[in-house]
Amino acid sequence: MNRSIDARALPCPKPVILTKQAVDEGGFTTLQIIVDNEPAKENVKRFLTRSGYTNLSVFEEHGEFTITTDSKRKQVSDTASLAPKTLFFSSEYLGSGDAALGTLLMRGFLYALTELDQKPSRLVFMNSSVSLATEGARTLSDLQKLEHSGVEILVCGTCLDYYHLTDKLAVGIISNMYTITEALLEGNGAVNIS
Amino acid sequence: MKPVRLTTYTRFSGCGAKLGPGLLDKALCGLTQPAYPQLLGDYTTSEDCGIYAINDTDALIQTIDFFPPIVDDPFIFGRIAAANALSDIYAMGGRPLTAVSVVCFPKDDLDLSYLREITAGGLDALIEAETALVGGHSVDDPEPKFGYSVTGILKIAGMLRNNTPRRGDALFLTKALGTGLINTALRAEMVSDRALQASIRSMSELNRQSAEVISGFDISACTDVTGFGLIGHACEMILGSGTGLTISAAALPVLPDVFEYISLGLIPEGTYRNKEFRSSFIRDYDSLDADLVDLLFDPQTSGGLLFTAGEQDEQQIISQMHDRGIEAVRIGTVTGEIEEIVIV
Repeated sequence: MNRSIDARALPCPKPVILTKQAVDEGGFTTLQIIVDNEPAKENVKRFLTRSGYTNLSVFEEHGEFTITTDSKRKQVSDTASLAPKTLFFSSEYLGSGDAALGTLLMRGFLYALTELDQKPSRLVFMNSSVSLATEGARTLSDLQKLEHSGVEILVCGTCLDYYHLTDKLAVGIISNMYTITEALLEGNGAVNIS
Repeated sequence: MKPVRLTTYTRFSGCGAKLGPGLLDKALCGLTQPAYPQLLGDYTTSEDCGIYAINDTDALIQTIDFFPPIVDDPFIFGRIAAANALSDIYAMGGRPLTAVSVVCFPKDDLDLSYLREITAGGLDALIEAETALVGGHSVDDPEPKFGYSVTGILKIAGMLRNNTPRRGDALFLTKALGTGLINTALRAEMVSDRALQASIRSMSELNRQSAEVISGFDISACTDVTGFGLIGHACEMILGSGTGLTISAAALPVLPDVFEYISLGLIPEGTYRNKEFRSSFIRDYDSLDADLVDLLFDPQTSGGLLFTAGEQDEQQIISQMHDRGIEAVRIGTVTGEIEEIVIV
């Protein structure tokens, strides 16, 4: 079945919303979206490409654009690319072995994270690793940078209490076991760092 | 009363509702007025405010900003509108004194309690800014709009121009980018809670604290990032200044999930207008990552201050900002590449 959407004269982001509805419903052999401005054309193209449709064609006439796709869809592992990457820290050292080396490696690791284009979505700190997020820690500025670029930082409240560090917490939000457990099991699960 | 989504009453998103910069230039080009000796800055200078000297040392500064709802909560919308209007005063190094509200409201379609909440939110921000609300004007209009004209005062010697950066200075930004994209995702009902919350927090925040920090330093140029996007305002900074800018893409602060919205095509129309107007200022524009470009031109609502200061002051500035809870970052450097922006 051919499906056609007339998205002319609709304000952004309406054309994308209508396209998304059609994609979600599925059941078409070809899908056609007609828009009357360049931004709408670009946005719809992006949405379809991002959704895995690669056989796109665009036909332009009198300032109107018809974007056509067939139903072939590259499997975009929605959950893989969208799933939050959570990193779990359970100690202030990276790896087991010499403590001085472990400290150094941890600093290097957190710095390297700040340089990544594709940053993790969340860092979770438990047990002695909570000290990494407190005042005076050499790792603080990198964690602040990460938080600033949108990485969520969860710090175990019980652990802060235990080490008497609650007043010293300088980055991230205090969290509880329930939230942390949920965070670790979400999406593709978490990567254990320390 | 059934709660309504305020954002469904508007075609636009925030500063995305601005007439495009190209259009405005075309409309105003050639319109002149007498050269008043006290007038230190008007619409021809693309300064953040109009500037009018009232004696040898002080100037009155005036600005206006209003827009359709960008969030659904009326109180928050009012607060953001006020923060956004006050921002131009702070960007000039001035102190806001009084505000007059501008209201468009669909009296038959929307319960009056919404108007009350919008006004209450605005007043909340004005009180924080120690700025007196002196009055306002309202019009019955199917599309609600809200904002303020704000008047402030400025020591002429301490005035922060937006187009006088010094070569070699560091370039700073005090708020993360992406509010235009998040507003668009909200209207598409595809926004994540964390992105929306972060964006609301950022837009609601006054630029007062940032302005207080930089008042203690030798600032060569300052503006605020709003509807023309980071690059649009960066261009105003270098135009006619004999300088250029290098901006580090990796250093740019970004609100959560923004790149996700870019890849989904949830890009405000304002971005396309901004690109059309200013893309020629960017070196090797065509070879830049398309997603990055959409962030660089994303129209911001109540964005942060964008300013330049000597490199020797970088650490002090950043640490004083952090002490006040402002996530300011250095994003680049003023160069000698005349009127050219290099993205690295």
